[in-house]
Amino acid sequence: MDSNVTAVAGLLEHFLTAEDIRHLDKASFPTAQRIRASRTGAHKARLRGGTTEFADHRPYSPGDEVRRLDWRIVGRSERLEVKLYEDPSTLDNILLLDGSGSMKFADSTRTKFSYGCSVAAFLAKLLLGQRDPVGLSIATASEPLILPPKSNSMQLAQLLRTMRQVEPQGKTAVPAQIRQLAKSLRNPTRVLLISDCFVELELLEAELKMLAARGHRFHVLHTVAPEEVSLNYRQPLRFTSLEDSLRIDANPQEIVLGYLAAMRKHVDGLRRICLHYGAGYEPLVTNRPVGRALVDFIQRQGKR
Amino acid sequence: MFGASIFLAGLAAIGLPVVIHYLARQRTRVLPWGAMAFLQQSISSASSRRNRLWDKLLLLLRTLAILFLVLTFAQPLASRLWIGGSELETVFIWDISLSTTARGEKPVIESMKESLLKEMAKLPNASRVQILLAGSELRWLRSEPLTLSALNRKSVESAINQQQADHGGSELATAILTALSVEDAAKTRSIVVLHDGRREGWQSSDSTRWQAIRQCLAGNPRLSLRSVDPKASLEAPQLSVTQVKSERDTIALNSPVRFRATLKNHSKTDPVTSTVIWRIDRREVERSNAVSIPAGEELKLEQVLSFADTGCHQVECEAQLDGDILPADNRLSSVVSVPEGIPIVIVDDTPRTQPGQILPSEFLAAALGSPLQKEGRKTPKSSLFQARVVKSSEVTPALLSGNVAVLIAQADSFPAARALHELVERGGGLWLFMGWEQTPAWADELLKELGLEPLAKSRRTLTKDPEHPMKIMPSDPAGAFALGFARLDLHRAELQAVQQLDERVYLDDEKLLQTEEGHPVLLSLAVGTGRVMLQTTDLNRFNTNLPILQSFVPLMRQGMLEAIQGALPKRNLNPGEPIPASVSPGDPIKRPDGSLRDRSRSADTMDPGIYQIDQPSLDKPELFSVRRPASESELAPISPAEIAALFESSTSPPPAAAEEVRKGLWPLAWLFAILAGVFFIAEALLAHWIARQRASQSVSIDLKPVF
Repeated sequence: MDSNVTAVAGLLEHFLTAEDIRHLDKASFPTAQRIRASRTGAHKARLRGGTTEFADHRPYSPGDEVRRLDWRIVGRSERLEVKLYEDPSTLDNILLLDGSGSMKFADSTRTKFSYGCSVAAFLAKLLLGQRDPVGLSIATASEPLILPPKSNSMQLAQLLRTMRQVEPQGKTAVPAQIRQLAKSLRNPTRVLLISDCFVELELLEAELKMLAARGHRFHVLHTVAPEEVSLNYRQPLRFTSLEDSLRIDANPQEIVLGYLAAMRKHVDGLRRICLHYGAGYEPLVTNRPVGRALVDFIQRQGKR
Repeated sequence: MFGASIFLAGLAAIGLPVVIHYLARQRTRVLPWGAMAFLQQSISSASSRRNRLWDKLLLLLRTLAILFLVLTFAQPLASRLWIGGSELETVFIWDISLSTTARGEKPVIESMKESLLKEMAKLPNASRVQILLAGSELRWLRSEPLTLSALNRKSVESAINQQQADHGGSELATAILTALSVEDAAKTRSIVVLHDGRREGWQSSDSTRWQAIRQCLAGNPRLSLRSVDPKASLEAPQLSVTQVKSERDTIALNSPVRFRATLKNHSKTDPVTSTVIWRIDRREVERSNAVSIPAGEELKLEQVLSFADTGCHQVECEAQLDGDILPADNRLSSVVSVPEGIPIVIVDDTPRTQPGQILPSEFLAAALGSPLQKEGRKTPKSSLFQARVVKSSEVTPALLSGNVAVLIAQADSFPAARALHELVERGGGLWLFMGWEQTPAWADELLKELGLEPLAKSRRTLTKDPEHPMKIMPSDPAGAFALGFARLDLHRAELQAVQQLDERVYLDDEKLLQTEEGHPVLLSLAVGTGRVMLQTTDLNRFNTNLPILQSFVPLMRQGMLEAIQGALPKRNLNPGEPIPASVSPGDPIKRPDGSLRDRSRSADTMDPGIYQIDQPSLDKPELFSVRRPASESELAPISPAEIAALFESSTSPPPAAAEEVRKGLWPLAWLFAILAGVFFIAEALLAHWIARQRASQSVSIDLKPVF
């Protein structure tokens, strides 16, 4: 157990700064929205500590019900541990991380993928700390990677290790991955999409629509580099695609207006999709500390 | 053109903005990028196209600024083509007379072409040029003045190179006056004379013309006159044939005729020995070798020739001399006409009253070398005249129209006075032999018809020699004949010749008009284009022995030729004399240079040489020769100082070539400097504006969350 904590701490340090972790300690992700089933059995509601499915242990805290003590552990180790059970009234969380080549972009800041991993690590830690099941899906051009949502103590380490092993490449596979999730997820799940969303909005919307239709919820954490939303370059550049062999020679000063207009239109489209499906849209620019950015995001979630 | 063309090397700097732009592109940073789709959309967007246009405009302004700056230093000079043409006009007077074919190191005409081309090369574009050719006639090389440009210089140079000398003379003073007469007060006119250095062409003795030239130049400061003097002097043997002539242009078949040729050695120091060749129709008929002519002397040669064929013949005399500097004047031609026979009519009503009596008509026919035509007898070919004797009653207009002359030896009546008048008017001849008897009435009518005015009954003096006046008077002032001749107007008579009769004319009383010494008088009166000959001695042997005198024959022949000279075409003309219109009307004239002209330009005979008219109906062409001016053979040089003396100080000194060139040009350095400044300022303003625009564009998208 202690080794697990140590390992997790080490992994977290890889993704989060000390300031991020300080924010993490203070943050509290709003309780997952409970779905009020219109009829019994339509959705399993997940309630913390009050269901029949054992989920995990935690140290006894004053105020906890005595009947929840796991006497076996008390008898063996004289530690007071309470049992935790699956709460069928809560939503699973899936962190859908974009592993396409475009996420490798970095100029004045770190790569978007690295930033996205930090975001995922932060949210995973936060949610798992709240005993919310968290899973991971990394959308890559190769075999998609899915870790089903779990809330056990090993899950965070598993998530972090998995993210560390992934190298972003290839074209964006987010819509396909969303489709896959929509089909595979059994329980109502909150999908937290961490991506630059450089994909055709029609495709993305179609998959998000299907996701929402199957009772899942989603949030778009739009991860972009500051250069991508400003094109603040003075000299002519040769832009080479991170996803294919496309190459464009251009003078950013000549094309900046048109670029920003196109980008603005894309962002507006994303926002419209999120508004339409009651989803959240959070722009995350990679030059902003992860902790601070997510704290604002979390606070806004609390206002919903 | 440019005043400091070395600075044009700076035009290489125009490429700097482009090179810098290109090099900048080569050092482009490579940036891996994720949002390629947005880049693609932005490149095709209107704003991007506008931005690219601004950048291109900036590049253009920089290039133009550098271009005009470099051109400013190069001191551009533009022709005045866009500003209404040049004020500089040059008239070249180019001597192309016969003497320019003289050979020094090369023909003088070729040296003059080089000089002319050099002079033209100095002239700027947009200046006007005219070239006046001074040869057998004055004519312009081009009908209109030429405004020089880079496009037409080659064609002008080609026309100059193709121009050949002609065989005429040059009259440079006349040419200068012609050039001055085409004055345009708005132009600065420079007259440049290209000459061959010969004195004769300058007409220096023509003080009237030179005075007019000086007055014209003195009165207009915009005019200038100068000469381009030849570099080589002409010193070499020079022999010319200055004259070839015969006694008359119309001669009888097979009749020997004396031709006279004049040769002249123009060298002042060296005698020459030449070979003289006579040719008829280009066929050599006589050759004389080693004909010597002392220095500066003339030699007159005679050659008797006869012609076995009728038609026109060219008789040429050539004097061959090795090393002759001007071989073009070593031959000269004359043209003679050998007719079948000139038809004439002799009117004789004299009755044959005695056996052996020779009638006047017989005397006349014999004297003219034309035995009377009788049926079945052919006229011998040696006769120039073909005479037909008729009675006065047989004379009809139709008969007269087919004859060239009428001799009235004796006529009792003459009803065809009007027709006779018409014959004389159209150039024919009329010979009246007036006897001592009273003038017949028809003679009065005839004289009246001929428009002969009355004559005062007094002695008249006819002479061309004031020291030896010849008085003509009726032998019997009271006689009836004198009364008849009172109608004659001796004021219109010319003393053509004094036919000195060696023999004494008997029966002097029968001379109606005589000189004080008793010589009979033959009056030759012009009526229209013909002549009326009044023989004041009849041919009746009872009255006179004139017909049997030896001098009667030459008198008649010479007088007859004079009488019909209006009807016979003149074969040897002076320059400018028209070819007789009666000769082959309608057929074109072939000129000495081989060109054809239509008959409406029959007076276009300025060029010396042989003119030919081919008649399709006949196998023999009509020939005419135009004399070559003898002065063209005189190659005595004229010095530049003498020419300057002709021009006198009234002419302005010739401007320096460079200054003359610059007069026709606008300096554009100031304009180019202004343009360079404008482009530099525009470039700076535009660059500043673009930078500000792009600075204001440096914003990022405002990303707002949705929650």
